[in-house]
Amino acid sequence: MSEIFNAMYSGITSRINYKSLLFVPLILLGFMLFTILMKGIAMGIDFRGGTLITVTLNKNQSIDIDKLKLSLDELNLMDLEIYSGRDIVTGSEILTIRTLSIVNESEIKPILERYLGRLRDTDVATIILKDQPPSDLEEKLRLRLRQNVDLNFSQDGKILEISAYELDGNKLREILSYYLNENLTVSIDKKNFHMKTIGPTLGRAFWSQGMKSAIIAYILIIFVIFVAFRDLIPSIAVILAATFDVIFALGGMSIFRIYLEPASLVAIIMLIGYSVDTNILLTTRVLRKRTGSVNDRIDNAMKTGLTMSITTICVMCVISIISILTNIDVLASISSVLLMGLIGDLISTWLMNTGILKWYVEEKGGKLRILKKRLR
Amino acid sequence: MSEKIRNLLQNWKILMLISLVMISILLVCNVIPINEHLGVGFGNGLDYGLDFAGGVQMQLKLEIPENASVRDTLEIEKGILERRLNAMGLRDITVIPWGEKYILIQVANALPSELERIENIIRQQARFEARIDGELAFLGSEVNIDLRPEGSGVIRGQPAEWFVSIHLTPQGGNRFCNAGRNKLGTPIDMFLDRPEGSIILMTNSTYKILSELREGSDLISDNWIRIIENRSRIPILIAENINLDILNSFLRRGFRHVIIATDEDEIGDDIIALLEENNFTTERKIKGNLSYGEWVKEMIGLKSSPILNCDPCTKCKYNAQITGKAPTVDLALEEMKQTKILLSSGNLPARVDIESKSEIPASHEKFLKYSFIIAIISIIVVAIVIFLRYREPFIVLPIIITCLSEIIIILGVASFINWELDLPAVAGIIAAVGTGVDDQIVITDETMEREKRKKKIISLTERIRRAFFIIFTAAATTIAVMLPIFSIQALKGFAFTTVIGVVIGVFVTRPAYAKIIEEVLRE
Repeated sequence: MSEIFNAMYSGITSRINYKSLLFVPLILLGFMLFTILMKGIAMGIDFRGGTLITVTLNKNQSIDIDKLKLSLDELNLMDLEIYSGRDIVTGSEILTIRTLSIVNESEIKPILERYLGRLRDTDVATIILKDQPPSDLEEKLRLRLRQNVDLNFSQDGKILEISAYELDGNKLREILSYYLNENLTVSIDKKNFHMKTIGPTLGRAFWSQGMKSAIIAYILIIFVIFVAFRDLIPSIAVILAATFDVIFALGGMSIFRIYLEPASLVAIIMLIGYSVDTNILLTTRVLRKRTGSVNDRIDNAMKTGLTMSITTICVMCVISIISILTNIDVLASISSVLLMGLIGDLISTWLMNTGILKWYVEEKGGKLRILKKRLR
Repeated sequence: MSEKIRNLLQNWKILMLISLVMISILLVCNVIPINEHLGVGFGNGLDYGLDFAGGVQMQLKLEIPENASVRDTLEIEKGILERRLNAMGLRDITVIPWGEKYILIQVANALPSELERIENIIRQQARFEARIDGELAFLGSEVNIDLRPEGSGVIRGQPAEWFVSIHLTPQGGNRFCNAGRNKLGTPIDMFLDRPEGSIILMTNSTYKILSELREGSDLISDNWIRIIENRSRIPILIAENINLDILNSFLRRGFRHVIIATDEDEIGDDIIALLEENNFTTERKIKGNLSYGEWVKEMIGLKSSPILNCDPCTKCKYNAQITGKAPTVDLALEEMKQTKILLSSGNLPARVDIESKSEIPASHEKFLKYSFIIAIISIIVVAIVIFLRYREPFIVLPIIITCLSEIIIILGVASFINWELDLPAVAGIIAAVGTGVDDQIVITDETMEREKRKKKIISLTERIRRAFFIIFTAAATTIAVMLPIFSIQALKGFAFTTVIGVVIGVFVTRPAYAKIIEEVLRE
């Protein structure tokens, strides 16, 4: 593998003029901008306001999404989306309902329960008892489980229902058997209903806060890069590359309909960090050396830079595969946005920024003055 | 080989890395007890945010009147909400004001029934009452605090004095005058959510204890029974004397709720059953670790009792000043703030709406498990890529060790300063370790090149300095990007772990790695 990386840039530019390579990122940039303008970027409910409901279905429970959608139509929900996906690890199907309207839990729950069976806000344990439990049981359970519990005892079936945020069947059986002196069977139904609502003004507040931070971050990066290089063209090249990467990632989000939400915003910020890493490496290597041809220096930088990028890309692949399979949405969205951005970074660094630097050194006689001074 | 290791172990950079990793392991595993209620175990020294612990998050929007100060209003609202929610007995509630008009409330492990109560509290205004000797003086809706800067303050001195100016409405002023006529020197009892229409049920022995304990240390101050019955106007029912006639007479007078005051003396189920059969609602107030005084004050909602020190019929009728003394200026400021909160709670400075509500599943174990799997597989992938590139196991090993140390030290720092870990914080760790690997590759390549061209005059320090120019610039940009992110509540954790990771990287792990790789590559 290491041999392919040797003299890679010289190899490519011996066949194609390096200036024509600049067209590749330009065309891609145009394409991505066009896509973003045409398709738009889907805003998550955190930034737009709305309701997100997830229901974990029982194993083997199937559901007719179209029918459910029809019944929910009576609530007049804006941009209603319903889809389901399987959690590979637990094997259960997870149904997601997303809308831009604010829904009242008491309104939507009965409709959903008609199709999906009982929806639980908490874990519920069911235990059959011989007698009514003592009245201080709730207190004792609260202390032992370190959380609040609700008890509900029905006289006719002698059924005790315990609801709590999180219940562990074995632990509960141990505790109950101890207090009630009975050998009990405890069956646990896990919480299967989650709901999240964000008001539209709050969404806008999040959004403007996010944008404000992003713009300040961008200005700060420009400042740091200029202070570090003290040279106009290389600094602009680094910043252009970072901008390209962000647009490339946003375009990817538009194509694959990945929501713009806090997690993907985090990914975009991380992307800027990674992008700047490879570009600083390239700029330093190309401009600081006094030995070797420009192509040699680029080849050298490329070898290091590609190792960096490939390592990160491989790790992001792993994270996105695992998090998609295990339904950890936050990591799934971070890693997939980063993956796209890093691919964009390969293009912007090695086809665009490299070309600009080569032109700057060969035709403008540019050198990194500050480095020369410091390193001599 | 053994000589190289000996060399490394004598280097201070390596020693610092090793000792930081050791300390971090002790912190993360709670061997150095960070979370005292938990035992020793991996991850027990860490605090988990709502993302892992599970809970409910609510965003409140305030409608702040135009001329009011935004910061003061948010602070007062926060204080009122905290006070009222804590009075409910819920432990893990955080109230964080942010932006121009928002308050974030996080509740860990709440049941739907508790959430309903929380929502009610947020929507309803608190009931504030000031009483003098049990007579109603003024209500929360009749008081306005002077929110101008000169309206309240602290006067330096020994002891420091604080004051809060209030205005009463005509109706409030008149009632204040009637209740407080000729009562200079009497306490004004300030109640928040005094349990109106409630009876307190206690055993005979509790009654005896409370009638012997006094509010103050002197003999003239009132005992707690007098405070409950006379100053708060809440009747007491002795469990031993309970019978149907008494219960009916209470029902006729409109009492419907019974607060069961249980300390060590238990009140039996038979009595509770009797009360419930007669249509009373019941609620237990357990003494727990509270002192008797604190326990009583919690039951009756008594918050503070400043002394009436000016005539409520002339000078102080409409414009009164509440004053107090405290040993230090800081304490005086705190008391002043609490009084302002208390006085505004019946008349909230801004209207509150619940803008958003989201439940966060407790994914603690699931998430830790998968994070662990992801970390292991990611490290294996890094190892494979690095090995394919360098074909040298002695380079792969230090990179892996450095990555692991970095993760452990970040977690150690988080544990040490009690930072709550949430999902964005984990993303931050990934980001920090990711740039860490990038930097290690840069260092490796620079060092290897130096080894190849040893005959040339480029010195080692120059090489390393070049590598570190790249690393420092990259670190500076990463930190620059993260700074504005600290202002976003939801992403703070991300910015925090990334910055900590980058700082640790630049000052500890990367210099140590450079040293290791230098030793490894030396012939």
